[in-house]
Amino acid sequence: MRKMEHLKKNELTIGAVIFLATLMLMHTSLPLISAPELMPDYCVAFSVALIASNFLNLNLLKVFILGLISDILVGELIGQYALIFIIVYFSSFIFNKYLFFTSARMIFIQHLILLLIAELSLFMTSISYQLDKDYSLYGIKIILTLLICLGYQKLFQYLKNKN
Amino acid sequence: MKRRHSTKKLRLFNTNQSPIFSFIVLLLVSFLLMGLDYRKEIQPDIKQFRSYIKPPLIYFLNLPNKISESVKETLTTKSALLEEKIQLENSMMELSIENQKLIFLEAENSILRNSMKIASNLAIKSISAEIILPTVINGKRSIIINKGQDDGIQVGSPVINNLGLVGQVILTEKNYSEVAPITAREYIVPAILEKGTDNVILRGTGSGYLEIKMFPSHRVAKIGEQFMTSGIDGIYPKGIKIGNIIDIKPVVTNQFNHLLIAPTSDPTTHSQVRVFLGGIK
Repeated sequence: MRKMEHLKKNELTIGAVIFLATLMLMHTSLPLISAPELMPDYCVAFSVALIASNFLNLNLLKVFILGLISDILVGELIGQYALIFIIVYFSSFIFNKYLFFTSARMIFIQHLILLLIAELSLFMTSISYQLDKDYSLYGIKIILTLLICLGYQKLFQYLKNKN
Repeated sequence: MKRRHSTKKLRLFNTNQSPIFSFIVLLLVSFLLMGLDYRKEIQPDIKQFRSYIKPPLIYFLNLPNKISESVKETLTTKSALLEEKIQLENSMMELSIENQKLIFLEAENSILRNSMKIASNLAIKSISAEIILPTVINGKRSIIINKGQDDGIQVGSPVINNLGLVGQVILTEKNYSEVAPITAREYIVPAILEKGTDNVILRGTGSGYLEIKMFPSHRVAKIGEQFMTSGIDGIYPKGIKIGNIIDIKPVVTNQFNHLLIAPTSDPTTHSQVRVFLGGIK
């Protein structure tokens, strides 16, 4: 029992560190990518991978609070990331209810669909509230975000197996 | 006898309780928060608060990138430097010729102003500032400069570089300020064509360009023509280059044209900018 609690605490600390690193990554310009329109959406990639891999056993309220923290620290509109995070969580819940993701290809498709849902929500809220976002290279940005998301997924999987 | 399965108890791979109720509640809360923030503008206050930790953090995070760029610059070959020197000498010569013309024009202008008793409208104080980093925050371009309230910078001060208008200060702290680039969606600047006709309002598109959504089609505007600040708003001095027309498309039964303007200046290509202090006298 104590060991379980210790493992849970450890997982939470690692999760918090990865979350902080994600927030920092959002302020970093990549050496090969100079155009801001191409910068991957780290926050969305992180949330999709975290929720899909069920790394911290988060519930809807915790996901919402995590989204609100992201909004306060790096967001453009309070509630935007919170909304995206809960939509991703709920979509993931529905997927997991009817489907069982086992193979690497299925996990890839799961991440891709969740990411597209998240990006669509981000796009719609940004359009509705006239946020200053660039959509000229959105396709490439989504591909880069997906790559980052898969990177996060591998990391979470590795950490899960380690524990 | 047929057995009836209760659909309510049918749980497939996910055995957890459905969070549909909490989802709807939190969805409504999110929309409420977004609406509140949009109307009451809560986020700028939060931005002001988080801006205390942002510049040093951004500086350290981008330090490796900056170091790699400075190393690249240091390793520039001798021949490239010599070529640059020749180019600079040529441009210096051209500039000195331009300067001679300007001195003459200034003198002529002064005589004309004196004779017409018009006061000069370009008495503007400005300071130079360095861009700490043309950073990208969550895919949005943001410019942070190393001068702030202590140097007399106020929110709304125009920012230029040697190529033209860069943007406007939107947030100022003790030692630094944040500048919105002219291409930002919320950016608006009154402009005039270089030939001195057509006072218009240019608006940022949020994607690296400026635009005029409805430019009367009976007015003549050609691709390549330049827009300058008109100075009628009392914020921007008159005659600062904004951008060139790169696309003209007819809209609304050909009565209007949509003009797309590419800005002449890009903050990422220059590290130094000038910030105007106070309004135009």
